Amino acid sequence: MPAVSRQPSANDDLLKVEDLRTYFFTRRGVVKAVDGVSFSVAPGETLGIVGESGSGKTMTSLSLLRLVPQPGGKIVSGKVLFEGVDLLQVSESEMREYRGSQISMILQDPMASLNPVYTVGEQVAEPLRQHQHLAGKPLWDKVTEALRLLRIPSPRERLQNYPHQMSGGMRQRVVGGIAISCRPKLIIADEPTTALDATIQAQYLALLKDLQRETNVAMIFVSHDFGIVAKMCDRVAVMYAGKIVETATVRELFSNPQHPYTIGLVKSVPRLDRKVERLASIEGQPPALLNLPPGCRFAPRCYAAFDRCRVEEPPHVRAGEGHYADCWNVLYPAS
Amino acid sequence: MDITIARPELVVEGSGTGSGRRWDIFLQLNFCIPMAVLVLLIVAAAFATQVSPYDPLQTSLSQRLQPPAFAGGTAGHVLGTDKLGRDVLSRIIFGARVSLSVSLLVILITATIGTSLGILGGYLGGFVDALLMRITDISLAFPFILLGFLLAVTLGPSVTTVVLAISVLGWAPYARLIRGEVLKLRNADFVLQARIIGCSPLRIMLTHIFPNIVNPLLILSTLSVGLIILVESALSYLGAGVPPPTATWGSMVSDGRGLIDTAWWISFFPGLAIGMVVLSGNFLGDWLRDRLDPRLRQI
Repeated sequence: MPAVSRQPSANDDLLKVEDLRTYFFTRRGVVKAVDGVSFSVAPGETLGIVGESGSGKTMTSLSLLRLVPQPGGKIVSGKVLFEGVDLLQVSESEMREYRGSQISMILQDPMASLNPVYTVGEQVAEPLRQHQHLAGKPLWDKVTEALRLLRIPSPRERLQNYPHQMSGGMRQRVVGGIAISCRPKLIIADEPTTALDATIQAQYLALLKDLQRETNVAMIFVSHDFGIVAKMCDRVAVMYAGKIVETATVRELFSNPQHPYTIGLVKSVPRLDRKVERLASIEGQPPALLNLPPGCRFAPRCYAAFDRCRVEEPPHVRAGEGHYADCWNVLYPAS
Repeated sequence: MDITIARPELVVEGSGTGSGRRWDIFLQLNFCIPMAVLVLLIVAAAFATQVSPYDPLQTSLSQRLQPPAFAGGTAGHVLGTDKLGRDVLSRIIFGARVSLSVSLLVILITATIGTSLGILGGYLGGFVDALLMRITDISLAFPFILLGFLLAVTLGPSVTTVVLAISVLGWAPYARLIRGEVLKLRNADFVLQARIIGCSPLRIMLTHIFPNIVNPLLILSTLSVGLIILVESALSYLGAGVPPPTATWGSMVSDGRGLIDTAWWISFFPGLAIGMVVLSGNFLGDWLRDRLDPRLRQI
């Protein structure tokens, strides 16, 4: 076989999400938490999803696993194609086969995501028991292996520890071990370092990078921290009020942002190489998802908004190789 | 260099599986004393015919209302006799059979039913929860004694009737308590984590949620020992429980009620037995709770 570099293209995407909509039906009305989100992830790739709190990042991740909070939450429409299979169409028991074995997820808070009454060994063993029906020595070998992948020192002994005996950083490594134990093809990391302090955060991110290199797992990295996304991801999708407003490679997004929201975000990141008097900020608040303004959701806060922005939803505009932005200004640069 | 040598020792110490530690936990007073009391009572109840000095049903009017040996009575009746001259100690030993087995059976039945329904309602929520909780409300509101009568009339008074009468309604407090605990846990991240790795709802309820509600379950179970013995005595007193002359602790307490001024021992000693069982149950429950909670185990 000739060594051909793999170009990410439409037909070898690991995950392809099309027009995903997750709504919450509440007494006060319909909250459109995820409203027409489309993106794709190639094998071994890391896609970053950035956005502020409440922009729908977590709901998008949970929707991929069909674990939207009940009651109230519902995936209304769209497709989640994982290796060509639409996960929104399979039965619940088939979906359970995917969870943990094909697609896994790392939650935000390592203090809360481990069960206090079981040893960490038991908890890393759980997905292996569920999906590979292992027991005895083969099981514990795999558990130790998973902990070793996450660089947990003396994993054999650590197996017998309870979560409360471990530090936050170690616990989050255990959570990573649970996620990787069955060697899934995709891991969704939902702000995995938010609860950790800065040095441990840097360690954990380097660890996830190593893990990806060793296992070639694809990752969706959800974060509100542009700096982390720049370090971790190949491509970035920027979310605002339930929609993806811009998608590009990391390099392209930072050097050539197109959407006014992205431009604002990039400007607001402090940089070591440039001296600024005062960091730029984006005025105003994101809209309440209950009664959204007509037209572009960012229009009320946008410095470049014009009449059309306030009435008509912006189109999906190609701004370069693999670079898309949903903005009227990108379509008509003159205005 | 020193650090690399020190590390493995620390790990061994921290894991706490040394053979010396294993037995320490059984040598604590809050385990030994209540366990000794319960074992003594259970052994006495099991070998009642061999252990008790008299036949508990044998009346002897010449020996009636004898005070206990240490309060001026005879050594023949250590804890005195009742108004029909029956030996109080013998009746307590035989009464332990009924009272302990009724308590144990009722706790087993009610805790199992109540916990299952509580977990189901709390975890599944929605219609199932609403339905189960309304049934629970009705059970909590229905008077115990009335149902006991009803069953006694239809089935005839017996130990089985007592167990049934208490169990049919007794599961409700468990269901209510456990459902509340499960509601709290349902939204915990570790339950979401269990769903993320592909566990089925049944597995989540049994292996991920249940171990986290053992504490309140144990506490309610041990506390209910006293309540069950009291209800059993109330039913017996009204003629709907274990029929006389069979000795039960509850019926002995109520027998002696009218004579409490002159012959206090008739009520006092079975009452003391009830108190000891209840206290031992509570202490053992506490001890077990500390054992089961990994956060307290290492201390």
